[in-house]
Amino acid sequence: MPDAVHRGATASLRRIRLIARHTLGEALRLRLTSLLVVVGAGLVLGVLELREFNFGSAELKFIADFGLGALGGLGMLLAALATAQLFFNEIQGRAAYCVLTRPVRRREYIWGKLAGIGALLALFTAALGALIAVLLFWRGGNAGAAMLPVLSCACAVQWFKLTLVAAMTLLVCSYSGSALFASCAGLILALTAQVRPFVSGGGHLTWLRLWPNLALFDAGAVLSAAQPPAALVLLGLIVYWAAYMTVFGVLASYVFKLREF
Amino acid sequence: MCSSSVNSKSAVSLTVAVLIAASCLLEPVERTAGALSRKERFRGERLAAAAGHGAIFALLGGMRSLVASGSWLQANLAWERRDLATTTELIKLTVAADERPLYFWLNGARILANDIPEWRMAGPVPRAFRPVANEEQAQLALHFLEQGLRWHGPEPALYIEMANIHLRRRGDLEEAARYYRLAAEQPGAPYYAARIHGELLRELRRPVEALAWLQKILATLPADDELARRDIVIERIQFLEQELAVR
Repeated sequence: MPDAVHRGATASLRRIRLIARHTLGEALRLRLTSLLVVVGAGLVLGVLELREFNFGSAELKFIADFGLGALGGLGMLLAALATAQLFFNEIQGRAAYCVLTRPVRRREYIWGKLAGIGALLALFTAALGALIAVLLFWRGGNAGAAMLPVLSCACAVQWFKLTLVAAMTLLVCSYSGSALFASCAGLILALTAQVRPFVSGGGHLTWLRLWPNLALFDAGAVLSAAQPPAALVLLGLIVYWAAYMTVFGVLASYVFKLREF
Repeated sequence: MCSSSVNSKSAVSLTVAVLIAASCLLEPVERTAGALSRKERFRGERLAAAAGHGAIFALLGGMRSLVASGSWLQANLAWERRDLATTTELIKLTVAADERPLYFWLNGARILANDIPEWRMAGPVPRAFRPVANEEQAQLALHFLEQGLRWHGPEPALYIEMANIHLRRRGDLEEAARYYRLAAEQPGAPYYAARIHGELLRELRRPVEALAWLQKILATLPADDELARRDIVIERIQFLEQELAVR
């Protein structure tokens, strides 16, 4: 990178932003994204039909719980599948080669991709979260409106979890040779991270501890607590999320740097 | 397939090493953040229970209310058929899927303690078996409610249900009185728990203790709440005072 204009943190951030914007644009054009948004919206709206099958909890809680479940499940699929598809689309289409022959560092490419997918997941979470909020307000009036701060907090917790799944998948992508392998491995790793509670008591699965604990990002627990988590807990979650995002981002950048094209 | 690849084995070793270091360094943070889902270990048990019923993916996806409602519905269908084993299993699966609603714990315990002993007596069963069936089912329901207490903490509704089982199914007044007292001592407990505790003390022929208890709770009962039934408590205090004066 000989040109002085391309050096420095500002220029680097600008390149990351450009790659992120491009990734977001590509992601929004994916059929998978549209499909998951439509299915997610359908599931969230479908809760109105499923209310008859609800026992035990209040209607508003059921709507919020079911909606967050749909958001979490489909969001996880989107995080793993879209990440792998976007990454390999560019490599297979040789678009990545064009970008990397320009004054763009490989780590900037990876962080740009991660930021773009993070933005996609934020839009997905916001869209389904807004739909749940509308349903809550419609069914519960003031009681529904009172749940909105907790719902926002639960959506934020879901977003943390989804971005971590995306970062894990990106790390797998940096190693792997095919989108199919990367997306399957990403989903398996996400499920592994979800079942970390199994190893809290020790036993022969203790080795799973080296993987992040996605069960910490429990939107259902936020919802059932009926109030946003304590500041210390929230800070702990943010630090945990940021640390693992950094770890996965740095590792993916390092491995991608070793990749031979 | 993609033409590019990573050839370095050192990259894999480095990844594993960094992940191990990160998990060690982040353990204190994980403990702090874990307060949000501090019942992780129980959740592991719940996942293990759900795994056998094919519900694990729904639970991991977050559809807990739906899975629990579905299995509760199935439990009720099994209840209609008087299918003892399936009803018991499905009740356990219901609370394993979603432990939050008290409705499942209370009604599940009532089925285990009150309905199933009657099913076990159907057919050519010796009458002497009834106390055995009652006791076994009561213990099963009490154990079930104890699990509920692990999830919910000292919840008065669960204590009251345990007291009811001791009183009505086991005929153990001593234990029933103990659990009514535990319920009465929790914040938000219904007023009748304290009244029944007092009444059971009287039935256990401990009028002095009963009088002291009723006098203690009378001071805490609000005058403007009809549910507090101050009049009944005052009446029982007067009755106990008379009884003790006669002695």
